[in-house]
Amino acid sequence: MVAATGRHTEIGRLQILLSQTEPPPTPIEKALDTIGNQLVAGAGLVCLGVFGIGLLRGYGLLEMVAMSISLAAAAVPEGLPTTATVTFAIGMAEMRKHHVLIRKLQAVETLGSVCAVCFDKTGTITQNRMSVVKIKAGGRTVYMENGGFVSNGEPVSLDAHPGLTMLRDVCALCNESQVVKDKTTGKVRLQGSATENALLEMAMAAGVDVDTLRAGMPLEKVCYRSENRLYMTTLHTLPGGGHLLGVKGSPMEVLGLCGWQWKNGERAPLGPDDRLAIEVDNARMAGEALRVLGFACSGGGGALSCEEAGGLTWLGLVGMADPVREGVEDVIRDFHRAGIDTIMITGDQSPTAYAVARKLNLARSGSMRILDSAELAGLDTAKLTALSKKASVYSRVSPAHKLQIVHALQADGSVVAMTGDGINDGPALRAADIGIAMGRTGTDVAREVADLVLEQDNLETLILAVKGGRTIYSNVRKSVHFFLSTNLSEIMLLSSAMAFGIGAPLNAMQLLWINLISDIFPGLALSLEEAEPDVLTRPPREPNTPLFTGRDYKRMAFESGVITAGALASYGYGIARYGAGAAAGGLAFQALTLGQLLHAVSCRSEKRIILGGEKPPGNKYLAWALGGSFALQALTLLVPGLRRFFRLPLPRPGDLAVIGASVAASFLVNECMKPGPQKTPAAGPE
Amino acid sequence: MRKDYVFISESVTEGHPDKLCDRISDAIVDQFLLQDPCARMRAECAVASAIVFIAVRFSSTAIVDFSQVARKIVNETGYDQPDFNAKTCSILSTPKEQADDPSWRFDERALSDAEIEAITVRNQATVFGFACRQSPVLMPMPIYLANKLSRRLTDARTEKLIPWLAPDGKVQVAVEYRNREPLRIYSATVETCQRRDMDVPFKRLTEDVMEKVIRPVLAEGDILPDNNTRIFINPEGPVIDGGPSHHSGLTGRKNAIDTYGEYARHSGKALSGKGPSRIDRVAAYAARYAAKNVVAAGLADVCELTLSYSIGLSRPVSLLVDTQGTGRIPDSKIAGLVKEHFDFRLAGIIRQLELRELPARNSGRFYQKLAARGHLGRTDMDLPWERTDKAPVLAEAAGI
Repeated sequence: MVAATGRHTEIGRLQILLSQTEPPPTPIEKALDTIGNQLVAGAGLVCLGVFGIGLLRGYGLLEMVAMSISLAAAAVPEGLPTTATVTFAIGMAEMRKHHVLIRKLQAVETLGSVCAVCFDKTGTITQNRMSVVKIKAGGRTVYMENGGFVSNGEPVSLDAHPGLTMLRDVCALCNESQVVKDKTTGKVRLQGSATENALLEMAMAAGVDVDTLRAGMPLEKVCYRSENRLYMTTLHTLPGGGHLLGVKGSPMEVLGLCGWQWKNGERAPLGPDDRLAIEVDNARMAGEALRVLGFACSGGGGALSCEEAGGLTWLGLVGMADPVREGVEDVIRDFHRAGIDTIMITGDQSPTAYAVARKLNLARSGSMRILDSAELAGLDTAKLTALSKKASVYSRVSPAHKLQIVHALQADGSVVAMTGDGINDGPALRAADIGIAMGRTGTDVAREVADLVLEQDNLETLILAVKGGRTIYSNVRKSVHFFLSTNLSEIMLLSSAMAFGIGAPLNAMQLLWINLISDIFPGLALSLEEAEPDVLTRPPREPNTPLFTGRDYKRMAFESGVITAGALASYGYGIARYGAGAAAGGLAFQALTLGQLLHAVSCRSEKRIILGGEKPPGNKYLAWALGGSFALQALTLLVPGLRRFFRLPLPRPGDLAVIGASVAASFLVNECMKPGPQKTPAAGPE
Repeated sequence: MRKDYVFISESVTEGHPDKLCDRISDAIVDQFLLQDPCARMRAECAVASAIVFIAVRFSSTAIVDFSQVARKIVNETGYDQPDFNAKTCSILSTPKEQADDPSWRFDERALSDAEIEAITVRNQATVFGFACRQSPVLMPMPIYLANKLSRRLTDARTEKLIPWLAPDGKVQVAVEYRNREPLRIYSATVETCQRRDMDVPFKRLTEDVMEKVIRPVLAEGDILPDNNTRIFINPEGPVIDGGPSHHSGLTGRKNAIDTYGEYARHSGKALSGKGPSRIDRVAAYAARYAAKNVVAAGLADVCELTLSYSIGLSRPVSLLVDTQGTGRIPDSKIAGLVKEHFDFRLAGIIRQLELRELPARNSGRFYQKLAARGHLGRTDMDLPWERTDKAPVLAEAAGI
């Protein structure tokens, strides 16, 4: 019998929802694009300017054309587009080693500005390995331990009481899990949801042969649990004729359907005191962080239709434990230190959610707020947004509401990460700024849609991903900072020398050398910096901040100016000593190149490295790159052929001293102008 | 002091958002005490447009599902509007658990006098107890009538006498006094809401309220309405639905209705949502107990008892009696008798009025029933502080 096809099926509806939910855009490559374009435009203007000034100053046309073209080549930061892509790609490979699979490149950047992570309780925070631990039925408490049942310290069988027996049978009957026997090994495996498997295990431990029981009372009809009806009913045919209705679901809802109970081995009416006692039992069990289900069956003369059930006999409460994954508490603490809120979403009752949340210290600000709402859809967005700012736990929430929670959190601009493993989580994962899927226990849909897959379902790797994301972003900044300030210094040197009329300090070949050989490797090496030690104790980056602010540009201009000044000083000394010409130019060439190489060291951190600052962790790539570049630079002086090529005279010791001094001075000045040693505010509880 | 005046007291039904919050707070108190009689808790509740906010500070071994309790109360109060009902309302709860205090885990029935003396109060409070001869339960007439009226309004809805009533309602009764004695009912006002899903002409509603609510209640009292008594029913026109989706509520905002209807002084502190560990609640009951017995014993016609407590002491810092000139013996002597025969120390009050055991004795529903229609002067509940068992002793000791 066909109920629906195509877009009217659940899968179809999900697919439509998926295609309608927009994944949010992320801009780092756009930003680099813009910077690149602006630089090209600006550089073009400057080159024209230099060309014009040079001609006015009386330099030859050909010479000026060569100069301008080389300046253009110098001014455009070739390293820029590669930097981002290379950095991301290498970063992603690094994270792959830690079993974090990044499916979308942009996610790397967004990770650095995540403000809130929403966790599913079952399967993410817990292991989704349910097992029955406590049964309250017929006025007795039975514990399940080691596959056996204990009551009041004595072993007990569930056959002892008709009430317990009924409960045991309904657990097996009102259940969709299947018992699968492996033909070769003969081992028995359960196939179904974790909750129902746990119930079946309990029934089997109590001596029930599930297949025989189910064959004896064949299933006629099933009414599944839905958002509006928090219980499942199954209708079975009895061998002697007649029917049995089994009900399993949210304890209070199931209790509402009952008028009878099993007491002392007999069926008795349910009085208000009994109901109260069951309520208290339910709250207590939930408060022990158990998932509690209530059971009932027919036979009390009530109606026997699946849809509407009433006048049933209450059988009891079954509490299941789902152990919390190891290390989750530490992960949550790390998130809080990194300034990230942790939010738990669960369909469980409030006391269960509260018990787990309290154990994990879920609330970053210390005061736990629980939002219990079965009807999130009814709340208008403004109210939900206001409430979501406060809540750290959402209880009694069905997975369909995750999408609304994501939207509500995003409404005031927060960057939200959401974990998910089920098919229902698709839209929420798509809408979240970072969708995180579990690799092992997740479904294909979730893994397809997510930005990030934790291959080993290990939440600790999420912290590593955040760390990686933040580091990659700051490395891109460092690398681009280096490229921009060195290119700017070349432009400044040439144009200022032209403007002062002291000739051109660098010739075309020298410019190309600096730009193509000596700058590229240190710049790329900067993008491979290790994570700074405080990267996980800083608050998350504001989501819409540009790659560089106006202040950053001013600082870059200042740094370039300082390097230029050093080069100009050497040039000036050269002119004073040797007069205008190749010799003086040679000094400027060395000073500029070495100054830029040393600047790479300064670009490693926004804080001071020397003079009271802290040394960042070692970067062997940079060491190699700098070493190589220094060596190449030395070669230009030592190898006669190269010297001729660049028109460099052999430098005298005095010249080397001047070069050394100017380079050291520019480095020191740039370091001193960085903010002094101060405590960066840690992102602890407010 | 004026002898002829009109005095008005108001009362609200249990569906009024403020009272709804009081009931939720007290239902939480009940649940805690049911499981753990030594629990200490302070529950506050606010409701606004279908969102319920619950903040509970507690120190107890009990586990209470606050959202479940709130939904049950909303359901029992009869809210099934699409805008606000037990199933779909959202509940934001902030539980704050505090460290257990072993010094609080005592059994008050087994304490010696010295031990009771050692238990000091942890809150400061000035409370008032009042009794007078205006009504059979020794309460001022206006609040007595107003509470009766609001009770009848709720019963009319729950017993389906007027099926189109919504749970939210307010009443007000004005009594005219001559020579400080109630003479006649000056006016009565009932403001009630009607259900949206039942289309009933406004005239029908007013007629029903008049015939089934106002007339029966006013007809059975000591003072009766006459031709000049003015009756107002929804003077501003019909009100549809009402309840939290229309106006918000907060625990502790209907203090006057809980006590004496503003005829006598009352502490500004809320009563609902506080457990027996709070002197500001239990002393109000103890003061009423003492004042009522003074009047019942015939020592005075009016008695107002003032008790002041300071943190760190077990006995009240001050105890004042004011009989407004109606005392048969001097006020100071009455004060002395009260001090002698009533225990106003925290543990003593808990013991005397059996405050910890009341929820368990009443199927887990005691304080939540107090939260609507007044904590004092109730005849539908057996309240320990309304018993006049000490009246004979007092009368004898005073020599009357």
